Amino acid sequence: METLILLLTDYTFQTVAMGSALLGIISGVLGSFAVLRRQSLLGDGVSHAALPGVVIAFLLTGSKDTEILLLGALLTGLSATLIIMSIVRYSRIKFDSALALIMSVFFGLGLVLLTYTQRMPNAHQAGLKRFIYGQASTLLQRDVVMMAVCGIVLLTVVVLFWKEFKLYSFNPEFAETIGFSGKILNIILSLLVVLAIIIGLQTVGVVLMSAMLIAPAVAARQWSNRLWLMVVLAAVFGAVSGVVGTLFSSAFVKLPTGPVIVVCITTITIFSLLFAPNRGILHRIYLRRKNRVQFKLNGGANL
Amino acid sequence: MAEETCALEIHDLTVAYGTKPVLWDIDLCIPKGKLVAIIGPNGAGKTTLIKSMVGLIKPVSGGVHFQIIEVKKGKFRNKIAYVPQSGSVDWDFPATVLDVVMMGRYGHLGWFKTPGRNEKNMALETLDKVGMREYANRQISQLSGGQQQRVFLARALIQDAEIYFMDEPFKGVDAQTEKSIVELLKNLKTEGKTVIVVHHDLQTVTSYFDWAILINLRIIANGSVEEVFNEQNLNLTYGNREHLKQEAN
Repeated sequence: METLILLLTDYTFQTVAMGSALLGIISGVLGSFAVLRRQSLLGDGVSHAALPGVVIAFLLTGSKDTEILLLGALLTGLSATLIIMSIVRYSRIKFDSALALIMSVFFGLGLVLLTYTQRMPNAHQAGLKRFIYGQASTLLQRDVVMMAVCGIVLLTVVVLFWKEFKLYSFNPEFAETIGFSGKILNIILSLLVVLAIIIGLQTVGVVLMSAMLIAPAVAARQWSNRLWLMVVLAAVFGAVSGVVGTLFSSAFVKLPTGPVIVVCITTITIFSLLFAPNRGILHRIYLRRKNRVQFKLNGGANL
Repeated sequence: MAEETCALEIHDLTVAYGTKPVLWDIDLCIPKGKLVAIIGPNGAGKTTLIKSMVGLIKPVSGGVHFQIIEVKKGKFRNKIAYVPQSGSVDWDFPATVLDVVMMGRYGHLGWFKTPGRNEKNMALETLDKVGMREYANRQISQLSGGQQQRVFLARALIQDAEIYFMDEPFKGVDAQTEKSIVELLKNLKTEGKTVIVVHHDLQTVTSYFDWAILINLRIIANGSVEEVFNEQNLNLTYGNREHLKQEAN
């Protein structure tokens, strides 16, 4: 108990937990829209494509500032998204193939550049490797402040465009016919998702980031049939996993924070898939059993 | 054909997917205040035609002109209402019946304004019209095919438009519901609205509609049901497709 209190009052712990919680909220909210638009995998593509951006940013500027490295990540992440969307639009290649192709090409390029860079004298201190699996412990207070500012901007945009996003996610063609440009909404929404991913890179890394986007949304969908409640729940699940994950990884030595956070959110998701009322698997099995008994009592066929 | 006011005119419209033409050199005048059926076999371009009319598909050439209303690009188009095929959306989306119907008011609200009590009351009234009021708070994934169709219809009605475009509104609907939907469409007509419907069931054309467009890549016939809905035109529409394709190529 004493260690727990000691831990909770620890400054580094507070910073990291705060950052992880923010990340959980942001990715939960934007992940909800990505999942509802059936674009969950795009997040995976974008995050993998962010790696070469980080390395190139370092190579060009020599800077170790997170902001600059993430700016590079943003640029390659966005260009990967654009390339994927253009391939789907202008060729016969389907979305999943285009995604797999671009994702692995960009990630491969990132790894090549990273290996090359590691041989350079000052590269080691730059800690570029932390972007692969994430290293939440490197979160500084100013990183958290940056995350908070970005988060507030992103959430404000979501609140502002709430009605439009809802309409567009449900029925883009109808939105178009009443004058809400699908092109514009798609760009805004995709941009927000990419930003959310970039924000999470330092904490959970490019490989696991898509889980942060998808898992809270999938879990939240199980518990609610209202869009707003789903989004709020996704944010809560994300935040809780962020804090609990940080707690676990701090309490036990040498447990990496990012992966532990992902394990936490996955646990919540599996629990939700199994036990949620109405949509949960167990509830459905129960319903089927109940129906079977009822039909039998009413003289129905032996199913 | 007597002079009639066109609700919308189409000139030289050609639409293609890739190199394959789907609609070829369409010229049309759809008169105002009619209940119009678009008829043709599968793959004839019915859905494509209706989507071109509401501006969802960019034609290779030609265009659609609205005569009785002004429809500007990029502006909110409150004067046209589009009912897509109900299969075109994911009904597992987290929304209630009321949510979906209220979306029909979004065009009137414009960007950023949120729907309020006013919109909610309108939605409830409209749900009354389609006999779905008691389903207002139902999650949309729990609706049957006919109920989904009526929700989409309510969403169009609440738009209070001048021209209604409906893509197979009777698909998956039982006889009872079909009757009540036809009743609603006829009411719209009496109000002076134009209703354009992609329709499949040839047997009901004469009893439901007063105008028919027969289409198979090109316009085969366009006129009042008495004038154009005859065996000769139907044969041309549903019969041999090959010679049409050759001409188009």
